[in-house]
Amino acid sequence: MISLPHIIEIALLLLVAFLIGCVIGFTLRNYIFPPKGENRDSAHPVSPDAVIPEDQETSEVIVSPKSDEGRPTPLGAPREGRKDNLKLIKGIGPKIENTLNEMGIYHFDQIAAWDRKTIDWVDEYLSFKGRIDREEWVQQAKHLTAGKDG
Amino acid sequence: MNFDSFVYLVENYWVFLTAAVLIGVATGWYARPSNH
Repeated sequence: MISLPHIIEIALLLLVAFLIGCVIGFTLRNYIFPPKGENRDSAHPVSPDAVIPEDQETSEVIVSPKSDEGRPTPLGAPREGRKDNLKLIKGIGPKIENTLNEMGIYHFDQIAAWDRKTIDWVDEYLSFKGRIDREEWVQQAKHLTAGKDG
Repeated sequence: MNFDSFVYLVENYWVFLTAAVLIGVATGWYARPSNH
Protein backbone atom coordinates (compact mmCIF):
# COMPACT_ATOMS: atom_id res chain seq x y z
CA MET A 1 0.00 0.00 0.00
CA ILE A 2 1.40 3.35 -0.98
CA SER A 3 1.27 5.89 1.81
CA LEU A 4 -0.27 9.32 1.42
CA PRO A 5 2.99 11.28 1.80
CA HIS A 6 4.48 9.07 -0.87
CA ILE A 7 1.63 9.88 -3.25
CA ILE A 8 2.00 13.60 -2.53
CA GLU A 9 5.71 13.39 -3.23
CA ILE A 10 5.08 11.69 -6.56
CA ALA A 11 2.41 14.19 -7.46
CA LEU A 12 4.69 17.10 -6.63
CA LEU A 13 7.50 15.58 -8.61
CA LEU A 14 5.23 15.04 -11.61
CA LEU A 15 3.98 18.61 -11.32
CA VAL A 16 7.51 19.97 -11.24
CA ALA A 17 8.41 17.79 -14.22
CA PHE A 18 5.36 19.10 -16.10
CA LEU A 19 6.22 22.72 -15.33
CA ILE A 20 9.82 22.23 -16.38
CA GLY A 21 8.49 20.70 -19.59
CA CYS A 22 6.24 23.71 -20.13
CA VAL A 23 9.15 26.10 -19.79
CA ILE A 24 11.30 23.98 -22.10
CA GLY A 25 8.52 23.73 -24.71
CA PHE A 26 7.72 27.42 -24.63
CA THR A 27 11.36 28.48 -24.79
CA LEU A 28 12.12 25.96 -27.49
CA ARG A 29 9.31 27.17 -29.71
CA ASN A 30 10.22 30.83 -29.22
CA TYR A 31 13.80 29.94 -30.04
CA ILE A 32 13.01 27.85 -33.13
CA PHE A 33 10.11 29.96 -34.42
CA PRO A 34 10.56 33.52 -33.15
CA PRO A 35 7.20 35.31 -32.89
CA LYS A 36 6.40 37.45 -35.91
CA GLY A 37 5.31 41.08 -35.65
CA GLU A 38 6.40 41.59 -32.09
CA ASN A 39 6.20 45.34 -32.46
CA ARG A 40 2.51 45.30 -33.19
CA ASP A 41 -0.50 43.37 -31.97
CA SER A 42 1.48 40.46 -30.65
CA ALA A 43 -0.53 40.61 -27.45
CA HIS A 44 -3.80 40.39 -29.32
CA PRO A 45 -3.21 38.52 -32.52
CA VAL A 46 -6.19 38.75 -34.83
CA SER A 47 -6.44 36.94 -38.08
CA PRO A 48 -7.03 39.26 -41.02
CA ASP A 49 -10.11 37.22 -41.80
CA ALA A 50 -11.42 37.31 -38.26
CA VAL A 51 -15.12 37.93 -38.20
CA ILE A 52 -16.05 40.96 -36.17
CA PRO A 53 -19.73 41.29 -35.36
CA GLU A 54 -21.18 44.17 -37.33
CA ASP A 55 -22.50 46.06 -34.37
CA GLN A 56 -19.49 45.49 -32.20
CA GLU A 57 -17.01 48.26 -32.19
CA THR A 58 -13.50 47.23 -31.44
CA SER A 59 -11.13 49.67 -29.91
CA GLU A 60 -8.95 51.06 -32.61
CA VAL A 61 -5.28 51.58 -31.94
CA ILE A 62 -3.88 54.57 -33.69
CA VAL A 63 -0.50 53.94 -35.21
CA SER A 64 1.51 56.22 -37.41
CA PRO A 65 1.69 54.93 -40.96
CA LYS A 66 5.09 55.12 -42.56
CA SER A 67 4.09 57.91 -44.94
CA ASP A 68 1.29 60.35 -45.57
CA GLU A 69 0.71 58.87 -49.01
CA GLY A 70 -2.96 57.97 -49.15
CA ARG A 71 -3.92 60.07 -46.15
CA PRO A 72 -7.49 61.28 -46.68
CA THR A 73 -7.84 65.00 -47.25
CA PRO A 74 -9.28 66.39 -44.03
CA LEU A 75 -11.99 69.00 -43.79
CA GLY A 76 -11.45 71.70 -41.20
CA ALA A 77 -15.09 71.53 -40.20
CA PRO A 78 -18.27 69.89 -41.44
CA ARG A 79 -19.75 71.54 -44.54
CA GLU A 80 -22.56 73.92 -43.62
CA GLY A 81 -21.81 73.04 -40.02
CA ARG A 82 -23.65 69.74 -40.36
CA LYS A 83 -21.82 66.47 -40.35
CA ASP A 84 -23.26 63.22 -41.62
CA ASN A 85 -24.17 60.47 -39.19
CA LEU A 86 -21.27 58.17 -40.04
CA LYS A 87 -22.71 55.58 -37.67
CA LEU A 88 -25.15 54.70 -40.45
CA ILE A 89 -22.24 52.84 -42.00
CA LYS A 90 -22.31 49.35 -40.56
CA GLY A 91 -19.12 48.83 -38.61
CA ILE A 92 -18.78 52.44 -37.52
CA GLY A 93 -19.82 53.18 -33.96
CA PRO A 94 -19.60 56.33 -31.88
CA LYS A 95 -15.96 55.81 -31.05
CA ILE A 96 -14.80 55.32 -34.63
CA GLU A 97 -17.03 58.16 -35.76
CA ASN A 98 -15.28 60.45 -33.29
CA THR A 99 -11.89 59.29 -34.50
CA LEU A 100 -12.89 59.91 -38.12
CA ASN A 101 -14.21 63.35 -37.18
CA GLU A 102 -10.90 64.11 -35.52
CA MET A 103 -9.24 63.12 -38.79
CA GLY A 104 -11.41 65.69 -40.59
CA ILE A 105 -13.82 63.16 -42.03
CA TYR A 106 -17.42 64.23 -41.53
CA HIS A 107 -19.30 63.20 -44.66
CA PHE A 108 -20.25 60.02 -46.50
CA ASP A 109 -18.91 61.38 -49.79
CA GLN A 110 -15.47 61.77 -48.21
CA ILE A 111 -15.42 58.05 -47.40
CA ALA A 112 -17.02 57.20 -50.75
CA ALA A 113 -14.11 58.92 -52.46
CA TRP A 114 -11.45 56.81 -50.76
CA ASP A 115 -9.24 54.98 -53.21
CA ARG A 116 -7.10 51.91 -52.54
CA LYS A 117 -4.22 53.92 -51.06
CA THR A 118 -6.50 55.86 -48.76
CA ILE A 119 -8.26 52.71 -47.55
CA ASP A 120 -4.90 51.13 -46.82
CA TRP A 121 -3.69 54.26 -45.06
CA VAL A 122 -6.74 54.54 -42.80
CA ASP A 123 -6.70 50.80 -42.21
CA GLU A 124 -3.12 51.00 -41.04
CA TYR A 125 -3.71 54.22 -39.08
CA LEU A 126 -6.56 52.70 -37.12
CA SER A 127 -5.10 49.17 -37.01
CA PHE A 128 -8.25 47.78 -38.57
CA LYS A 129 -6.58 44.84 -40.31
CA GLY A 130 -8.71 44.96 -43.41
CA ARG A 131 -11.95 45.82 -41.67
CA ILE A 132 -12.77 48.72 -44.00
CA ASP A 133 -12.77 46.30 -46.92
CA ARG A 134 -14.60 43.55 -45.07
CA GLU A 135 -17.36 45.85 -43.96
CA GLU A 136 -17.38 47.64 -47.31
CA TRP A 137 -17.37 51.13 -45.85
CA VAL A 138 -16.71 52.74 -49.22
CA GLN A 139 -19.61 50.95 -50.92
CA GLN A 140 -21.88 51.72 -47.99
CA ALA A 141 -20.78 55.35 -48.08
CA LYS A 142 -21.50 55.50 -51.82
CA HIS A 143 -25.02 54.17 -51.24
CA LEU A 144 -25.58 56.61 -48.42
CA THR A 145 -24.23 59.49 -50.50
CA ALA A 146 -26.54 58.53 -53.37
CA GLY A 147 -29.45 58.22 -50.94
CA LYS A 148 -28.68 61.61 -49.47
CA ASP A 149 -28.44 63.27 -52.87
CA GLY A 150 -31.43 61.54 -54.35
CA MET B 1 11.74 14.93 1.05
CA ASN B 2 15.38 13.96 1.29
CA PHE B 3 17.73 13.09 -1.52
CA ASP B 4 17.40 9.32 -1.08
CA SER B 5 13.64 9.38 -1.44
CA PHE B 6 14.04 11.64 -4.48
CA VAL B 7 16.38 9.12 -6.10
CA TYR B 8 13.97 6.34 -5.20
CA LEU B 9 11.09 8.15 -6.86
CA VAL B 10 13.08 8.95 -9.97
CA GLU B 11 14.26 5.35 -10.28
CA ASN B 12 10.80 3.90 -9.87
CA TYR B 13 8.69 6.47 -11.63
CA TRP B 14 11.00 7.77 -14.32
CA VAL B 15 8.49 6.70 -17.00
CA PHE B 16 5.80 8.91 -15.52
CA LEU B 17 8.25 11.74 -14.97
CA THR B 18 9.38 11.55 -18.57
CA ALA B 19 5.77 11.51 -19.70
CA ALA B 20 5.06 14.56 -17.53
CA VAL B 21 8.01 16.41 -19.02
CA LEU B 22 6.89 15.55 -22.56
CA ILE B 23 3.32 16.63 -21.86
CA GLY B 24 4.73 19.84 -20.39
CA VAL B 25 6.87 20.44 -23.47
CA ALA B 26 3.83 19.99 -25.71
CA THR B 27 1.76 22.30 -23.52
CA GLY B 28 4.49 24.95 -23.49
CA TRP B 29 4.97 24.59 -27.23
CA TYR B 30 1.33 25.24 -28.01
CA ALA B 31 0.85 27.83 -25.25
CA ARG B 32 1.78 30.58 -27.70
CA PRO B 33 -0.94 31.23 -30.28
CA SER B 34 0.11 30.35 -33.78
CA ASN B 35 0.92 33.15 -36.20
CA HIS B 36 -0.77 31.33 -39.02
